Amino acid sequence: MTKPLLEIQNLSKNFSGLDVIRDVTFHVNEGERMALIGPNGAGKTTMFNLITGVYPVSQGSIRMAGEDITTASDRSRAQRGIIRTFQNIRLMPHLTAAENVMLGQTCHSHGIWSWLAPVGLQSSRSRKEADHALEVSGLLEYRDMLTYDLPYGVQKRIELARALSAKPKLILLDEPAAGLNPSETDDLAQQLLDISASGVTLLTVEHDMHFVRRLSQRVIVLNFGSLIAEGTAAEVQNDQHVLEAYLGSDRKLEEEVAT
Amino acid sequence: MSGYLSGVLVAYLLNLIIAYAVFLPGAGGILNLGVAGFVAIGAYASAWLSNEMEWPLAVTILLSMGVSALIGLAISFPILRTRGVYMVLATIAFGEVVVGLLINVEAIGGAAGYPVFEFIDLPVIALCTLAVVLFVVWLMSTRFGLALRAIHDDEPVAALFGVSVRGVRVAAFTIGAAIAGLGGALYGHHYAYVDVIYFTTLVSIYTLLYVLIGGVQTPWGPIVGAAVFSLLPELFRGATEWRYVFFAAVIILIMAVRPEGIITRALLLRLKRRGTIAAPTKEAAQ
Amino acid sequence: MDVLQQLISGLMLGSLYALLAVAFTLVIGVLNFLNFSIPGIFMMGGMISWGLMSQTNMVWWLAMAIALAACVVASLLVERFTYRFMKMRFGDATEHATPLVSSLGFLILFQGLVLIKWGPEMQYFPSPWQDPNLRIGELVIGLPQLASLILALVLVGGLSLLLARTGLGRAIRAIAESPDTAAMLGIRVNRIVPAVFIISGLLAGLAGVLFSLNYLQASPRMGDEIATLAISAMVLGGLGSVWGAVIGGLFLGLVQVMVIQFFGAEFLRAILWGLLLVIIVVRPQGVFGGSKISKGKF
Repeated sequence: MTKPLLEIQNLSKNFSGLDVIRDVTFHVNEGERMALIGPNGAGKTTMFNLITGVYPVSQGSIRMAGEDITTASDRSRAQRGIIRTFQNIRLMPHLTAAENVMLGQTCHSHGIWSWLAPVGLQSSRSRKEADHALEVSGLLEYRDMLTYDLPYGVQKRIELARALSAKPKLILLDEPAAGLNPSETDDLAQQLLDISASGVTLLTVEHDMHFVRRLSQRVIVLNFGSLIAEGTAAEVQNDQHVLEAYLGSDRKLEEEVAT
Repeated sequence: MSGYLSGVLVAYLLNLIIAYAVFLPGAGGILNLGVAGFVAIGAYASAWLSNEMEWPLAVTILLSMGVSALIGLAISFPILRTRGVYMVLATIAFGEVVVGLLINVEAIGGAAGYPVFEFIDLPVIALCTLAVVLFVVWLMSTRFGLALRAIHDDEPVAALFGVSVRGVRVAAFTIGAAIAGLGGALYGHHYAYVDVIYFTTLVSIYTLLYVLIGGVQTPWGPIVGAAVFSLLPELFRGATEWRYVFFAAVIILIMAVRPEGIITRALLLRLKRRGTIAAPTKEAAQ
Repeated sequence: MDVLQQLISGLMLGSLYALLAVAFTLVIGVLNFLNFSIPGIFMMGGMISWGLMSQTNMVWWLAMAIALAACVVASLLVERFTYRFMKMRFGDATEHATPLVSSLGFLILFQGLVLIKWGPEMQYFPSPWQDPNLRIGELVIGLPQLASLILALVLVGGLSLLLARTGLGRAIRAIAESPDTAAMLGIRVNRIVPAVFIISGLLAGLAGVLFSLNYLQASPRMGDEIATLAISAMVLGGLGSVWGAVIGGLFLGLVQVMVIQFFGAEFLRAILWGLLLVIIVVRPQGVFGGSKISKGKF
């Protein structure tokens, strides 16, 4: 299974003259677990925003499962199976946990009836699916609660459940372990390995190198918008360019490991 | 029922219908301050079709809703391109243009107003209101409603999960316009007279205000909001001129203590939870 | 000669719109807040000075001064309940519709109170001068009109100097960029924002007084029509731009006189608002150059 799922080809992005992503090329294979690391401001979140279509790209192309999606709409990217989570949790505060999860199903709603059938009813199929998804993640008790005052860790898990309910082929995880305690991080890593085992491809932005080592088969490193290294976690950690990038910004990889 | 009571009730029901016209786009974060324009279109369209064409009321009312919806659809594309303050101004401008044009059309009375011959009374208005309430409650419980509320909370994220933001917003605005058209048609036929001075921006402002007082998070908000505007001041009938002062004070107060409106989802969920605790047998039965 | 006369009255009318447009644009530019109470404050300027003059026989300058003071107080009241309150509760008032809604509440409140006190009738506003007109050949120039034009230009000139040169101006501009950053830089936002409301209330009240002096009338609804024109002027000039508002106001004064001349008064509203709608959709940054605000949701 080494068919490329996501192919980034010579991608560049500039914001009013400032190059945030410079001529980056990489690919993620189907079923792979890949990590994207780099110092703060390296362009990791921008890369996610380009892949999901939040920003238009300046140059280069993005292909998903062999098809060019460089200019595709947000919705069509979601339908092709690209789904993400966010660095700062972005659940809908005035929707309940179950409704947030149901929102994730939206990209697969086609035709007028799937839009006009009540999803709010306990007996609707969408609602049952959402309840099931919450149950699997151990979140059933929160299903009818608004998400804004739930604990941080719970919100993170709901966000992941929402992403999964979109039946993604590729999940982009933006610092999934940030703010979690060690046991929560451990649970998360296990859950992500399970998700990966079910055939979903993972691309993770993360600072915690323990987490990256445990989770990722392959790591790419961005610095100032350029791709500077690619390889296994161990290879990348000993790469001269990577060490310079981190030391140059007063930051050692070992410090990252310590966090 | 006494004439006074039915008069108050009709006013409340008509205000409620128009409230839902503002509520629907409002639930998706669109502030419509031009609803009076759609009400005017509905009122004049139905009045003219009924007076000049002598078509049956059911037909003229449905057609007037259609006209209002079509104009709403057409105008929604440019208006929904704008944001924030600009959208507020664009919707006001729309309402003003409608009134400014209608006043110059002599065929419908121009500035002199336009008498309407067919009469509609309380029972029909009550039925129509009920239909609107049920329709909106149902609509808000569908995936469309879910998408609309998601857009209100976080538009970019809603888009990333496959919500067609523009489509949903256009639909909400257009359906709102149709409901406003219905309100206008009933208004004209009940009061037997339409005049552009009934459809000023001030009417749009009042409507938006009581919708926001009620809250746009749930379809129950307008019922409370319209009551605050139409029914509560009746308790102070001794001093009618204090009516608007009272209303204004309520707005300022509500915005200060409950800026999301009186009826919020958190409130309803709290009430529901209390209900299930009080009746554990229901939970066991599930 | 007739055209010249029209041009002059158009410009003078426009200066009133300009004053009010600047009042609107200042609050929008700094706080991204469309303050709908401004037409109410405008009306209070006219009605309170009329009330004091006609019911207590107060001398005109004192009546007007008291009216202006009342307008400033009213504007601060709006600040307290809209911007300041939101700031305390949610940390950021500019991303919320609530201030706008509350300000509509204040508009209704101010109008309602004046209606209760003085009734809905249009009142005759006594002129402090015997012959308020200046004659140059066949041209008739109203002194109050001339005063409005000069005052408008002087005040707005002063305001832009204040914004550009003084510490207060720098603080205001910093808040316009970002209230949070301004606070981090040590600017006492809660002390500076009221200044914006004081200036805005003063301009709106003054415009009301001058309007009454020009037309020798005052009524509880006098703000409704002119607010339309002031908002249009602001949009024309680009939201948040002070000089844009002035040019927009003068331009609209001219347009109004011309439209009435060529199309008749009944088409004024439709044409004006239609124009506005087109500008908002096609060129939201205004016709006279760039502007900085439009933060999206509020």
